[in-house]
Amino acid sequence: MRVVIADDSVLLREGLRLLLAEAGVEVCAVAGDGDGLDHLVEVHRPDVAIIDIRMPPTFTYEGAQAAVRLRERWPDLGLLLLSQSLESRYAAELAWEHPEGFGYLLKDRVVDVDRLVEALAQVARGGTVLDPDVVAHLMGRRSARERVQGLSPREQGVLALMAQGASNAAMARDLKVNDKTVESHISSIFTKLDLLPQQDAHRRVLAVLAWLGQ
Amino acid sequence: MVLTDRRLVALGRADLRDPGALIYVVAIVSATVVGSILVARQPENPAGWCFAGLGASMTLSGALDSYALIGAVADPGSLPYADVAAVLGDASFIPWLVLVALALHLTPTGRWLTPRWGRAALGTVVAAVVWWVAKCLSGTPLDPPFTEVSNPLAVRQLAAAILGVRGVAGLLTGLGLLVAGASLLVRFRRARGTERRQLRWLALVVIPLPVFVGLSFVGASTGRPLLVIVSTSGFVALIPIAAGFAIGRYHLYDVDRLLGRATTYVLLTAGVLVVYVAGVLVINEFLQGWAASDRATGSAAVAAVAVAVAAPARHRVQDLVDRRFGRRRYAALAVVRAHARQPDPPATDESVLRRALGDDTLTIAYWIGARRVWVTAAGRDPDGQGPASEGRATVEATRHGHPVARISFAATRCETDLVETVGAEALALLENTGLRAALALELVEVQASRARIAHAQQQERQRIERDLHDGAQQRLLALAMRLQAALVNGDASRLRAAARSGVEEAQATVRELRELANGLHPVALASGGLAAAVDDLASRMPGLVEFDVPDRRYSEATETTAWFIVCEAVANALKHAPGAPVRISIDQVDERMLIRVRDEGPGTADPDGNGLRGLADRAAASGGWLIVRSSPGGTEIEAVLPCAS
Repeated sequence: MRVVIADDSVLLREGLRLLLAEAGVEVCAVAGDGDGLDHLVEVHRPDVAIIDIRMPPTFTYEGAQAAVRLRERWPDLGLLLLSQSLESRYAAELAWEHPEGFGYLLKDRVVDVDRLVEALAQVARGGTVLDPDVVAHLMGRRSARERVQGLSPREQGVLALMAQGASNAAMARDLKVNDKTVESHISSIFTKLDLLPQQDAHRRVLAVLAWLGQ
Repeated sequence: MVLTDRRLVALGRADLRDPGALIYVVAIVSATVVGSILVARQPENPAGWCFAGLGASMTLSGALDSYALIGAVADPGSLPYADVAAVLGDASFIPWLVLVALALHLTPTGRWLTPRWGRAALGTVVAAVVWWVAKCLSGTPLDPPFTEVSNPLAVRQLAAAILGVRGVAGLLTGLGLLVAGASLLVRFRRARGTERRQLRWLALVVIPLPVFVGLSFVGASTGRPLLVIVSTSGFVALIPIAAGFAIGRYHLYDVDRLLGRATTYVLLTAGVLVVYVAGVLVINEFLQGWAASDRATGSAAVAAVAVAVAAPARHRVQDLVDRRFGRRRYAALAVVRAHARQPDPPATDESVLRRALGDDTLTIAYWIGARRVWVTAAGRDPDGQGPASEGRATVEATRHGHPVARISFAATRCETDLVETVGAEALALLENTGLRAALALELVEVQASRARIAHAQQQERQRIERDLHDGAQQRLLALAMRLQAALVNGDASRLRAAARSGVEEAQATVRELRELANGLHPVALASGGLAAAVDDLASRMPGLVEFDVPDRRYSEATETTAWFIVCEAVANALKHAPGAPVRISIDQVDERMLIRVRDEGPGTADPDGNGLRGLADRAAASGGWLIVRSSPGGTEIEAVLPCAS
């Protein structure tokens, strides 16, 4: 898998490059801002672009704007946004508008290299990955909390994993149950929440996000 | 004219001397003088040219008359074309009427009231021209004393038609003159403020216009030339004078007041006389038996009574006269007095004066002497209220020569004199509101300072957040990634190297965090007070820092504020005078802490800059104050904070 990194902090992007290299991910190049990133994608045609949301010149949402721009130009390019702080509203909006091949993680997660590599792989496949904190935040909102009340604690856990974009196998591993149990939980959740059953992990994320965003 | 007079006497025809010559001369002089003054002062105003033209045409007409009188009547045949001069002179009053009509239309602005009135004026001019031509061509006998002169220009074949045309055109011209008078009255009715005053006197002259025109026609038709001359010339003489006052805006208001005062005293004197005479008559009638000395006493008593009556009567009479002569002034003062007697809570000075003066754009600014600023009643900046704004005029109400309030009003709606009078009447009200405005100003400033402090705090929080994100958090994250990378790699030497650099990185991060925390509230300040904190600060500064700080503790709030001021002042010195020596001194005088930070830089600090403004706010918020003295020798920041010892 080939990636490019855009982050204004030298310390961070070099650390990330080192880490990914050790984990067997090829980092083609790194950039310090959105314009540099455009150029890198043009030249290297990577599978995924890892982008810091806050970049110069205004340090607000340059990374997100760069992501939208790249998505229009390169529909197949995977986008993984990194953020230093939780900005769930912005992340959820981006996910709803551009769900295919989209990921949003807090920067702390990238130290967990297995998870980072898995997220990169999923985004490269066209799937969706949301940070657990973002999902927890969305599910913690009052409107969502009221609707989740009917679910058992285990079902709520499965719902959260589903929103993060986890596959059935990953959920089974996380929850230490077998695949069949996970499947029955999922169908039960879809029934209780009046959602159409979905097999594809990526479509499931969409359904859950749409439901959370109601 | 005097020459003509002499010549007539010399020719033995004194009976031909013009009985109305004097008033005629007055008319010429008034029109010529007023016309030339107006033309000189306002050459763009056609009304002035009308008067100048009137003077010229009257002079010309006088010359024609004199020429004809001598050449055709007194000494026939002595002068060529005397009969033509007689005809032209006979018709020469027509241009006067036209010029008077135009002047009435155009005073005081120099423009028609509306285009419609303009068309009426042009119609009058056309009618007058026709009339003049018809009069010259008609064969009827001329006015006395030219009754014997036969008209050489007469077209006898068309006599009847010409006579008809002449009659109609003459009537139309007279009508045009009345229309011109009406135009002036309409203008007067619509006018406000100064323009109304400008027109008042002219309007007074114009009101009897129909009488003059009527008299003139009666005089002409009954063959009384004296009546024609007196009515026409008298009227023509008055108009330029009144118009001159109007256009020149000559002490309009004072004329009004003088007339009012004069009338009051005339009425009062008459009243006192009546009382006195009546009293004396009564004494003489009923006290016949009294001795002469008693009568004298009685007369004195009557005089005293008359005087006693006069004093209160003066107010009544003055009141009545004021009502007649200065309606607006009277009504305006009445509004202000009523409010002063019984204030109506929702009414403000502004609303009262607006009502009194009939100007709803009127605004008032109050002078806060201690601060040397103008403010509104709410203590705000009275922007756009300066004397410079277009169409606005201002009047300052003062007490003993010190400004109290500034009234700004629309110049077209109120007269300056009237506003001055009303302002003087409302002076006590204005002073009262001025005191409240001073309090309001302080409140406004406190609110603004509070808002600035809140904003500064917000910015400070953002700066800290940025420092944490970009500094410590990034470092720790990078450290974690590098350690993780070494772990993933698994090689023992890589792991050792990662651990070694990791320890260094962690220590650097701890230092960074400590500095960040220290900037917020230095440990030295908390443990050792201001003396320790300033010592610590001085040791970290690149240039020479001298300090003299008492080694004692104050309340935490005082120490924190003092520390903040010292830090910012030193930072300011570093910014404006890098490397220059800085001197910090803290003193205590009674229950006040005196902080001085002085640098020997170029003295370019801006007291209204963000940093120093924030300092002043901080000092003010804790009940103290701060001043910045910047001179080429350096900048000194001095703050005084209250401190209980």
